[in-house]
Amino acid sequence: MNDGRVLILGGGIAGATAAVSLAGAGVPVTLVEKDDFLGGFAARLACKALDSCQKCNGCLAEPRLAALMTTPGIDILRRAQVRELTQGDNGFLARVAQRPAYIDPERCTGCGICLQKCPAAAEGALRRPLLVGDRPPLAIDPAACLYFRDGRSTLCQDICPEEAIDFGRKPGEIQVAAKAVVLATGFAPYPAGQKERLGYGIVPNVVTAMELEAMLRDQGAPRRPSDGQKPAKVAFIQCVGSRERLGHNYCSRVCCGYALRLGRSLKHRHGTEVTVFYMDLQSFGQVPQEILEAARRELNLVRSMPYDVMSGEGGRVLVEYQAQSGQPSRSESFDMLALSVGMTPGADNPELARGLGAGLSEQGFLRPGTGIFVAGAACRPLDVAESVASAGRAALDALRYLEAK
Amino acid sequence: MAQATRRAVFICQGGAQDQADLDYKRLRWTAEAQSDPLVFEVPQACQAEGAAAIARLANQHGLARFLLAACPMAGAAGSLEHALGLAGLALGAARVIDVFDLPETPGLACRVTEGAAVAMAQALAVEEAWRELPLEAREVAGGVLVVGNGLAALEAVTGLADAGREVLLLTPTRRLALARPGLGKEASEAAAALAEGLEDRPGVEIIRRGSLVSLSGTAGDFQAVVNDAAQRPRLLRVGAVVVAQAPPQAPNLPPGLAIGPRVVTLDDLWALMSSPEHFRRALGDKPAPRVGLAVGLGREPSPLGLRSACLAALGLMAETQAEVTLYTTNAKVAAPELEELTQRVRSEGALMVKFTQDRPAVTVQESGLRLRYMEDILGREVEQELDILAVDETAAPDRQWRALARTLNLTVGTNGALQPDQVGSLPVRTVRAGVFAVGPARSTGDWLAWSDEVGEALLEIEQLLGEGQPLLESGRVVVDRRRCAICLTCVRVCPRQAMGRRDRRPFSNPLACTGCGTCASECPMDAIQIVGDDDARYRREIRAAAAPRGGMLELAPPDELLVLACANSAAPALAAARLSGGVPPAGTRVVRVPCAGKVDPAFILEALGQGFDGVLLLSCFEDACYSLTGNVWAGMRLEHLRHVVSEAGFQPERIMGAAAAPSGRAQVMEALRQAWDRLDELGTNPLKTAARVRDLLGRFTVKVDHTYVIL
Ligand SMILES: Cc1cc2nc3c(=O)[nH]c(=O)nc-3n(C[C@H](O)[C@H](O)[C@H](O)COP(=O)(O)OP(=O)(O)OC[C@H]3O[C@@H](n4cnc5c(N)ncnc54)[C@H](O)[C@@H]3O)c2cc1C
Ligand code: SF4
Ligand code: SF4
Repeated sequence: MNDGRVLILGGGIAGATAAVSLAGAGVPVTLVEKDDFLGGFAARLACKALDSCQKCNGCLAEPRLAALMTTPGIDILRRAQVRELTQGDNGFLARVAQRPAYIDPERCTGCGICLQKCPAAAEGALRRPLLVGDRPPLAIDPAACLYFRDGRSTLCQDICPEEAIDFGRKPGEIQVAAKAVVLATGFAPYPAGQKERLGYGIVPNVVTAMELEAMLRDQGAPRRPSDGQKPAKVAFIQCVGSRERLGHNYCSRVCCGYALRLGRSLKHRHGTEVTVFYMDLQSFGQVPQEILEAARRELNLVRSMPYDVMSGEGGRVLVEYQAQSGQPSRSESFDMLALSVGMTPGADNPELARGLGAGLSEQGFLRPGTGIFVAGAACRPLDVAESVASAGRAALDALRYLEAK
Repeated sequence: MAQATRRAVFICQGGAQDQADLDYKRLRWTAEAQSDPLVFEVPQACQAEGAAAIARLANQHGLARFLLAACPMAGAAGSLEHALGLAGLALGAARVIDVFDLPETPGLACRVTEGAAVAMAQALAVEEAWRELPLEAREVAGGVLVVGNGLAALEAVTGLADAGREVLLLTPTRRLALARPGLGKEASEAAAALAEGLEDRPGVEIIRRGSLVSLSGTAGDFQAVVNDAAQRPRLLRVGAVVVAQAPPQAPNLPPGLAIGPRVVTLDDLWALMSSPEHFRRALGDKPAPRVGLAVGLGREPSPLGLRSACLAALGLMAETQAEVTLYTTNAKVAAPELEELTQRVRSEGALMVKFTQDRPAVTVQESGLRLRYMEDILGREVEQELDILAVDETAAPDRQWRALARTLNLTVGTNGALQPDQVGSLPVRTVRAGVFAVGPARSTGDWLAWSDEVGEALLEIEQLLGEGQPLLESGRVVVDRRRCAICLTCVRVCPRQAMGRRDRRPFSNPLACTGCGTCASECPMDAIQIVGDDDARYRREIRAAAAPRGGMLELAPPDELLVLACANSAAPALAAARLSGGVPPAGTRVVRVPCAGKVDPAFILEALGQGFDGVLLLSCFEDACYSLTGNVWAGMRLEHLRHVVSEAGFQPERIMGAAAAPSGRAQVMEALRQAWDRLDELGTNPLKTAARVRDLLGRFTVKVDHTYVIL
């Protein structure tokens, strides 16, 4: 039966905004989220405020994501992916595959006993939701869980006082009939390991900016992965996986903004000495001048792209760069290096385009098709505020499309 | 009653710097020319005496309606409403036209504004057309006013018409401006396609060379006065307003360089390029003119400037023999395709020069320009000659732009944005509910984002106006008629401009009100309550949060901190902190409030009286408030309360404030830690013992009988 429903793929800020808007207009919505939890990357960003807000706009996502979980008329399928989508006279029919919830969302009270006892907890075998109110309060990550690796441990299943854990649960499949589809599947942070010379995964204490964001969000302070110490001197390298002639030949738009703000926040809140290596600083929005001037005063901005990163003594990171062309190269050592990774097309994009009849841009981002609308960073690199606007546009277009039908 | 139909004008004397001043005289002459002899000069209208004089005269002459020419204070001060109310006149009787600028130094007289006489003439004309709708008949108006003339405005008009709404497009120009050529062919084609046949669409009306005279009312129920090209005023009722106009632009020049025959803006260059004839002549018929294109030599540029320069470079190289150099500082490539575009400019043979800190020294001569600068790559100084240099433009809000903002009652950012850079208003809201800023009116970004913003605004408008419903007093804000002194504090403080006036009283428009409670806390008469969030509820919750106190013999009662947590920021942050295992220190009690704006000093006194050792108000960061200014008002009240309690000999340090973002789990835990450190220094609240005694007696009394003990 098709009740004029809209199927939304992706439960990040774009999917949430579109879902809440459509439900508010009285349209039933099914939202399919691939991950165990809702929120996407916007739910991992740190507040970068000094004594006052730095206008990173990250927290714009919070109330909208909360509304996703409380607005009536939205069916949410977590751990789910659309396997097949067929378009007929009566709209779309989607075959949705859903991974099992090894931890029962109804039973789990979030007491965390499993988390305390899990031998693979440090590897992330048990995850907490990104958002307050998301369910279940804990989820098992099969990639890290020992049971799924070799069947070694069923400890949590045995000790859970609520008997919420069952490794025997099977995947399910659901059919969803919809009149329109919104693709809000987001982006993929550039896999920093691909740039070997920048040392990610090789040199200790090289992190991605996304990891730094999450670290600040959860713990409120930067910590070196190698020893948990607070770094006194941190560098950022911009354009990692962006503005590449061969490859991602575009600017990711958000990284200069977040790096300058993260840098200033580290400086103000933790007294960190911060250097930013860049090509061109992108600052726009409403205070393009002010943020740059402040950054120039407080941070060490170096217009040069480092070409090598090596490990130094005591977990330090050596960054080699040429301050000016023609001059000999320099090596500077930092306690920690953050790579400002860009926004690249979501990994599922080719499959989505092929299977769903959406288009692909030259860069690999999604383009709308008949009855198919694209929202958020799935279209192109966008920040949170822009993702919200883009989701508004997609929801409006979907509404008009439904009316015309 | 014949007199009631006469038109009368009051002119505030306090406003005139000098009554012999020509502008002031002209103002009076205009009034006299159009309104019989009924022109009165009155002393300061913003003061009680002035207001009383006006009310007296209006009564004497039986004036049901009249105009008052004064400064913005006269309308805002509230004394006029008060005086009119006392005189038994309708509050809407006075229509204030702002024709004086407030003095920069208090105590000095206001100045007559430029064009005051014109404003007076317009207002008199409007007065003629003005018909007050009976209030009971009011419904949410479904129509929308769009201001602007570019791509975003055209897209908004089309989208609204598609949704079946009536639209009035007010364009400052005669032509429906096609997109600036620097935006690219795609944009101009899109604009042309949207403009095509727009005028003939049912429900769409276009006023060319029009201007906005005033916008009163609240969301869903705005009254706009607009002038057409012939300065004929019209009164409209609209439900919402979309501003899509670009702020004025100014050339982005480094210090010391000025526009002239050899230094032009990119827009000028585009104009020249549109006619090869002119272009050749302007460059002295050179076969291979040397053209410099500079983006960002002055202020930080925008991607729009770079796009324009790149497209101009490509156009020049394709159509002329020009030698092109593109100068950039921070090349703003952060827009779709711009990275590739700059690469194409280079590969087509343009020279690219980037400046980091230094800027070129430019000498302008009649025959051309000479640039001297350090070349980074060569590592030495370079001299370059050009026939013409075209620079980008950046937003430069001018007097007129500020006047538009003032008419709409919006803020203006340094880059002209008619929207505060604040999470509470992004992406497209402004400080006034029902007024939206889209495209160039809010951002300096590239035009590809504009369509999204228009979409978001249209969606918000659908949600705001719906199918249109009676605009009844069904909101959550209730004003107690017996208490309200009609001082209109609430109208001034409402962060969303949801408070209007109706039937003589303040009236909170339910479409615009977010229930932040700022009006309730600021009302000096305590006349306002928010349904579901009334003061009694919070006082009850605070009392309930006080720990059940131990027995009579327990000597050391536990320390307690009351946290009043904003539901938009601190409360979710606290919940998130708990989710990731954070545990607030023992003795921390949290009461959630809808917004810091809701926190009444009485709540804090209640808490201290209940024996809490300290009160911490946890709100949004000052400029990141979800209700825009709720926390600012709260901060002022807190400051005042600290002052008051310290006068009374109580430690003001027990009243604390801190900020957090909704994602700031670490921030709230840190704020709690600091608050507890403070309490450790301060020791036990001296009122605690009294509270304990009262508590015990209370229990005792309740057990014995139902009379109560007042302590
Ligand atoms: C390091 C870094 C820092 C940043 N900092 C800021 C900042 O300070 N301020 C700011 O405004 N922006 C910032 N951003 C940008 C911000 O993260 C994005 O604007 C935002 O996350 C985009 O939201 P989205 O919903 O479009 O995509 P996402 O956040 O990617 O969400 C997409 C969702 O869809 C799900 N999904 C993916 N594929 C499928 C599928 N096939 N089926 C079902 N579900 C699927 C994902 O699991 C995810 O939940 C930053 C980005 C990075 C990389
Ligand atoms: S998250 Fe960003 S926008 Fe929100 S308060 Fe913090 S700095 Fe400001
Ligand atoms: S935003 Fe800055 S760091 Fe990111 S790709 Fe663009 S220029 Fe590079």
